[in-house]
Amino acid sequence: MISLNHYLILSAVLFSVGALGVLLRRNALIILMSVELMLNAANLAIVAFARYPFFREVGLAAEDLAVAGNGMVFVFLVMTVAAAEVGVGLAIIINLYRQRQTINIEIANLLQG
Amino acid sequence: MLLTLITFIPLIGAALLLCVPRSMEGAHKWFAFGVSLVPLILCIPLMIVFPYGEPGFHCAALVSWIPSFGIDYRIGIDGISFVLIILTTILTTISIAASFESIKEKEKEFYFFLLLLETGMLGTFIALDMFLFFVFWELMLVPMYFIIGVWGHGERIYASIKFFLYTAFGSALMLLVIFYLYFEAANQLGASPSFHFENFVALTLDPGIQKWLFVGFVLAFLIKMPLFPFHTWLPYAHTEAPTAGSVLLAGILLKSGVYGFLRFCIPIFPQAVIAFSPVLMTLAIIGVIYGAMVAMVQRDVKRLVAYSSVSHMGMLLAGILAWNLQGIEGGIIQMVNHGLSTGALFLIVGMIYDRRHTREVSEFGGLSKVMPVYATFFMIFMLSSIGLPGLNGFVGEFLILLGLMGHSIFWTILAATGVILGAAYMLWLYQRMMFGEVKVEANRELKDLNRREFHILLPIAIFCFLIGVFPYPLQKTLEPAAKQIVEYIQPHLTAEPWLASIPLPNENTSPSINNESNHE
Amino acid sequence: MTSIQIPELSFSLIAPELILCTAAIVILLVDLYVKNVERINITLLALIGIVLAFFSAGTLYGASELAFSWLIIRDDMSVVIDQIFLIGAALIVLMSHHYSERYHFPYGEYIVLLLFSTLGMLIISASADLITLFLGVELVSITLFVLTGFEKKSLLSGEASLKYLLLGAFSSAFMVYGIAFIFGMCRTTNLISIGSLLSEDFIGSPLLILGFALLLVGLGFKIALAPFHMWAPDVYQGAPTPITAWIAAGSKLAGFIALVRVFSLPDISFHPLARTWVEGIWWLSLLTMIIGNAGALVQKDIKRMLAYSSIAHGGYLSMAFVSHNDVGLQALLFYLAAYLFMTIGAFAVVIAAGRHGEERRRISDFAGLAKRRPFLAAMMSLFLLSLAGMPPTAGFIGKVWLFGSAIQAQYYGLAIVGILTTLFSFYYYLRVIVYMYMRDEEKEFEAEPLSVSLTLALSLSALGVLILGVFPNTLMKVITNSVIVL
Repeated sequence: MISLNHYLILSAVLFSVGALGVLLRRNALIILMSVELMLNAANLAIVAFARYPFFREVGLAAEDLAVAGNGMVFVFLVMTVAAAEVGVGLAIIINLYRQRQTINIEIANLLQG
Repeated sequence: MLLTLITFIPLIGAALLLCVPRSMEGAHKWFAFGVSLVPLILCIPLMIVFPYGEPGFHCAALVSWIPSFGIDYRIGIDGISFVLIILTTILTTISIAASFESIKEKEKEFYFFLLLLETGMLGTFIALDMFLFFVFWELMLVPMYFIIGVWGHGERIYASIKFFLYTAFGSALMLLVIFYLYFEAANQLGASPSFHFENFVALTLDPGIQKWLFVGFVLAFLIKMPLFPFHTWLPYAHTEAPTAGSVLLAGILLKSGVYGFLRFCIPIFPQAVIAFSPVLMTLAIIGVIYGAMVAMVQRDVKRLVAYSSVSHMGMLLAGILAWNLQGIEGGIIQMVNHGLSTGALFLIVGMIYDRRHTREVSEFGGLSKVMPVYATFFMIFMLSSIGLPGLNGFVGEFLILLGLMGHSIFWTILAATGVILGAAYMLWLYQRMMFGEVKVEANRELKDLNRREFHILLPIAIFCFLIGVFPYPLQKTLEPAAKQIVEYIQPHLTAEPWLASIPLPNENTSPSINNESNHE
Repeated sequence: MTSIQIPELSFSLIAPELILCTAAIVILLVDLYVKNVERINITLLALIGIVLAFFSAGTLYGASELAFSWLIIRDDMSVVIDQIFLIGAALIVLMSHHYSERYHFPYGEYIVLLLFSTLGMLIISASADLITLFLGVELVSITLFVLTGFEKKSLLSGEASLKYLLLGAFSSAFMVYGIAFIFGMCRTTNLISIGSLLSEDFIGSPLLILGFALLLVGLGFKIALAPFHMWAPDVYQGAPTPITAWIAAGSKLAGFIALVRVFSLPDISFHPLARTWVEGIWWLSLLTMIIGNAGALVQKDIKRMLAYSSIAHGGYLSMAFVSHNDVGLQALLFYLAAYLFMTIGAFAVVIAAGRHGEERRRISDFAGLAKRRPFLAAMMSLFLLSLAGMPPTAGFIGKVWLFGSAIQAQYYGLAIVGILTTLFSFYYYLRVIVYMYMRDEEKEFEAEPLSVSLTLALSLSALGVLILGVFPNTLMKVITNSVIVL
């Protein structure tokens, strides 16, 4: 039986993979993808939490349904926001590529104190 | 109302000055001069209204400023502030007049900052609300920073930043302590909290905490005074500042340090003041002697006068720390005297600097033949600075030594040594600059004082003689305030065994002073 | 069977948001369909929208209501904050009008994005739910990513926007993850419900603490608290100057308001959890003050210096969360308003001092400004002295109030560190003044005449700084009342 904890562990693993990707990779596209991975890990956690009462196999109250709905709605909003972020992000990366013919963030390093 | 007018008219004048177009050359200085005359003239009704010889604060006003925090525009003056206000208005007008020819660029800004500074100085002396006091205290800082940094000489930038950071450091700590006291007052006194300083006086503070608070609080004043180890900003600031800056710095800003010490430190932290007074006394006396010794070896006239300030201020503090009426009164009178004579000496140095663009002592010599009027004024102020009987300096120094005598013979002897050293370096300076043959060719052509310069120095000289010959009115004005301070400190003195032997203050000290023999 | 109930929609409570949104859409359409719109018309439209929103917010004082099934809270605090945001937005529009003339970028879209970012800020200030809060924060961030990269030709601008985007998105992920845990433990995303839940009994779950910690990290990135501040100097330096000002003032304000909404939940001040995060923020505040001020000391670029100074201010501001009392919250709100004026003013001077292709970027470029442009130099000095906290400016009152709150809460150590770092800050603020007033210019800068819009922005900011410094009482009363209602 897969329980809430399984989902949470999976989401933690995904989140860490994403965070490590952001910190270690140098390609802007890969970093953006890693950020998406992190956001989706968070989404997974929210969906799992929203389903939580159903794992307990006790009688479902109307309140539990409301909580579930709340979580699902939030996930949709996060997905929308993530999509907007990617849209803007790709535009910015393309602009950078046009300027310098590279999307390696170590080469794009003019701003220094 | 009168006090408010006196304080804020320079500020309004400064704002109006900004509206005077830059193209009207020469208009700015006259405008500023006119503005600075207004508070000076308003001092006359103030002198009529002021109830001499009565204790407490007069001409008080109270307007709520930031009621959410109990911050009020609460003002009032006693004898000390009264005298200092008059001194401020006089010296500001004089220093504006003294800058007419020496300030040639960015005139508008210069006079703007001078007027702003005047408001800051006057406000400091009238504020009875600690927050208001702090605002004015900080308000003095910025204009002076600009005056030194923009119109100064030589290492002006270094000097201005050093001045700013030293002073800001002290006041930052003071602010923390003020806030601590504010919340403590809210706890202890209940009611609505306020920054009224008498609320702070009414607090009972644990002696252990009081010591720490005192250290945080007093540092701001000791730096500004400046007491011996905190004085290092002063020679730079004084030397590099333009004449007007030096005059106001020596004449008023240093006094504001002593003023703060008298007005706030002593009533709020009486036990701590007593506990620390051996330390402070030691530092003050070290300052007297150290300042005099260093002054002796200076080759720059302005630097010499600056170090003489360190010496004089140490003396002044020593007088206050004697904790008897004579000492405290002497200290306060000396505040006025030092303001007049050192201010005048800076003017004197500034005048010769305008002519020769050097301040090296060795560049001069025999000036008394070329510039007799100049030499006469120089002599008056030099003698007033070393405390010749008949001139103002004597009254203060004598009272201070008298007070010290009632306190401890040991300190008196050391302080008197400082006085003698003071006479030595001043006389030597005068001899090197004024007497002998004219050695440097450029000096032969020097013009004597013009009418403007003469009229700048004349009133100061008159005051020097007046105070020297009739010190009684000044003393009468200061007496209630000085007594008040003694009253604050007296109950705590007896608790401190090493001070127990001090005789109670003697009411009648004044009329006989002029008949006493010269103490030097 | 219960039928679906449509919650009551009280549109009047979100009138400022609606008006601003409408204004943005109108400008978008005008820009799209009307050929060759004069820039001045767009500016005027934007200003009209902002002013209308400002006054409609003013009518909402005393409302104190929850709306849209508890997604929106309309209390006095949100109204004050809305008005502060709107004033800031108006100043930025004025600055942008001048700046866009210099660089010829698509002005209509720029203003639309600017208004949408303001809308995001208004949503943050009125959010009573983590979902609304998140949406507000993202609306602000995403529009600012685009605005930062608006100078398409500039290498710096492009690079800054990339850095901002990557780190911004990274921090959003932390926020969402944090919210996930809070949602999981409290079974709701509503802040009011979370508050009352926490006040009833302490859910000692480490996951809840983790949730709040992640949320703090996410928001910490947005307001550039050390050690999450690395992006700030780069982005500030690269972004177009009006946008830098808006990031420094508006976005930082918004981040702090988000923190206020999350961490000053009504009933939990005695909650054990509160102590945990107070301790966390204590360290962040300390670190931020030290790193911000130390960093600013060595900067040569004026925008970078102001960036570090803004980081340092973040440290002072987060002191309010440490003292965690009414006074702290009031001080925070007041200081945010003061900070908005002085920061925007300082950046306005940076814009005004340069001209096309010849910006004054390095601090040494400001040498001799007082001689050539006395008005600008005086304004800059005023804003810098206010940032440094000298009376009689708004910065002084704000700083005093903040430090006072720390002393009242008996965090003496933090207050002393605050004061000492402030002293360090004097040095780098004064350095600019030294250059402007006391050094002669090394190379000549052609002066660009001061436009009306920029003069207006400058004088309004200066007025704000002075009025809040000398007569702070009006704003103080409003703030004090609004915090009591909270």
